[in-house]
Amino acid sequence: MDTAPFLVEIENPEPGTTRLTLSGDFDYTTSGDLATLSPTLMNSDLRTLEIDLTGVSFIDSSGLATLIHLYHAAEEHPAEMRFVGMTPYIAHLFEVTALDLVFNLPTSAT
Amino acid sequence: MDAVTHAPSTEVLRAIVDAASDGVVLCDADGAIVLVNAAAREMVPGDVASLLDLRREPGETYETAAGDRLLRVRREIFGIVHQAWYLRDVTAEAARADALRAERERARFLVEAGRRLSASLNTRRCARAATELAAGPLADAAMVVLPPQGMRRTAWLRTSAAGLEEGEIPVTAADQVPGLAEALAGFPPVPSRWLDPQQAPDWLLPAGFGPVGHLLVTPLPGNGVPAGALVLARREGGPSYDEDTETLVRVFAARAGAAISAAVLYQEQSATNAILAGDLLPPALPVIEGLELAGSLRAAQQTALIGGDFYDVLPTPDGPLVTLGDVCGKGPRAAVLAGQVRHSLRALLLLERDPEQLMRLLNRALLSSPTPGSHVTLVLAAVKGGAIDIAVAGHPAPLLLRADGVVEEVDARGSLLGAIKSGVLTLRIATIDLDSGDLLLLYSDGITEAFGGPTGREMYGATRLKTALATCAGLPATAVVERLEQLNSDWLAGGVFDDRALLAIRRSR
Repeated sequence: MDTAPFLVEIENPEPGTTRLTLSGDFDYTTSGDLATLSPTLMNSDLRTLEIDLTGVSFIDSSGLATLIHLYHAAEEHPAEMRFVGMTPYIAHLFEVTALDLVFNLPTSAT
Repeated sequence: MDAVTHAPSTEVLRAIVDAASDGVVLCDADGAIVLVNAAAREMVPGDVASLLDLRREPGETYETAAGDRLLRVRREIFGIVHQAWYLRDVTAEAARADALRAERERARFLVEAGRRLSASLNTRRCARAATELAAGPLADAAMVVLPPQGMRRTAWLRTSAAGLEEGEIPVTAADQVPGLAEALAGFPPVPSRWLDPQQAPDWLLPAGFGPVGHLLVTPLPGNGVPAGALVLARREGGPSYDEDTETLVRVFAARAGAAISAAVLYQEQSATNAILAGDLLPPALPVIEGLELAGSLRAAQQTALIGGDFYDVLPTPDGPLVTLGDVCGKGPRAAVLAGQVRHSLRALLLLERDPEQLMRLLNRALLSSPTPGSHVTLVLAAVKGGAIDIAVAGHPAPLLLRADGVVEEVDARGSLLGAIKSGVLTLRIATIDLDSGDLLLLYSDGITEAFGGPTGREMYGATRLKTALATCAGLPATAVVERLEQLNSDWLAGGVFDDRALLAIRRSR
């Protein structure tokens, strides 16, 4: 299996909002990249953390764990974490793991 | 004006020959010496005639020793009366050539040593290669004493004319050889040292080795761990160790030490991995009246990526509790967590048999774990007579294959265990009836998320699994698991895969 490279783009569309656009395979081998970013993301200005998963081709349990970790970090900060982009595959994965009941998901994809 | 030339007189010619830097010896036809120039006298202070070989063809060159010099000699014939021998001192040239040849030998030896020592990550094989390489070029008998690693006895390997020998010595016996105990302990750091051959205990040398001339103990430097010691012995009368050979021994010991310590570390790591992976091994399934049980667990190929899929069938007085789960992450941490979850379930089952309550208890236990990221997905199926209570936490819901070939997805779901800090666990429990010929299939996401197919980038997916399952109606549980595993492997077509677990429960009557 050739893996799609995992990329994280960080933008600040407006003050207090940070948007992470993830793409590629988000798994055991790549999830550490995002986990190490977490402390830098939780800066004092952060009010909203937006996560776009439209370009993510695969998530494994380590990827999910990293999202949960980010969610808890945002909750403690405190900031709101919400998902702004989703594919049917990821929406299904969130449903199986019942994370759809925990996370703020976009209404269009669910 | 014509140029006037004068033929040189005999005296002048004699003076010219005498001043030449090559030695010149002139003889008459019978070999009686007529003239010996200064260079020849200097090269051969004694009887020069013994060096002159009358059988040589004119123009032929040969080498001969004169005292501690090496001379290159050429015979020439002039007319019918005279023959001459030209002598050149090539002692220094030959020494340089010898040195170069020896240097090339040493380089070749080290290249060969590097190649053979790096060929294996097995401690014994590395040590064996080290003794075989050293026996011959470096010693008449070469022995490697391996590091004891906290044991009371330690192994050695030795190569000599007697072939390869192996044995063990009590670690305390190392004290009989000065420097050996320190070399094995890796502390204090000791240089290699010459021993009085009389000091060698019997076990150090092969039987019938004969009197020892030279005995050298060299520590094998490892990567921060002691890698043992190299003992080299030469017989009495054999060449002594010159400075170049000692340097070669040191470089060789460094390479052998690095190879052996890498092998020691690798073997320790694989032993640890094997113990950890043992915690994930699927158990032998019990025989339960009226039920067929079949399971398959295919672990990811890379040993460093020990995965976290596991299953168990735990008997209770009410009927068996079937569990299948997947811990988050890979490697030793995943293996330890999977072991903890399996043992927790065993313990909790003594007090609680309801799947929903078991999930809540396990969730709380995982949330209080000091290790971050202790997330687990799990299916619990409590079989009670014809009914099965099913709780699902963050895991794909089991599939139900009815006797008539209809496939249903069990309507149960819930969140990942150990993940949501608020501790609120949302669970929807399902109870199904398992009638005669019905089969319940528990599986891990390694099955549905297997990448393969025509493009190699397509997921197997739940739909393909359901379609495959629908073709299995009427088959015994073992055959169903084998068939699904086979179809999934075909999809992967040899590609890299994650852990894949399947567990089927079928009511036989």
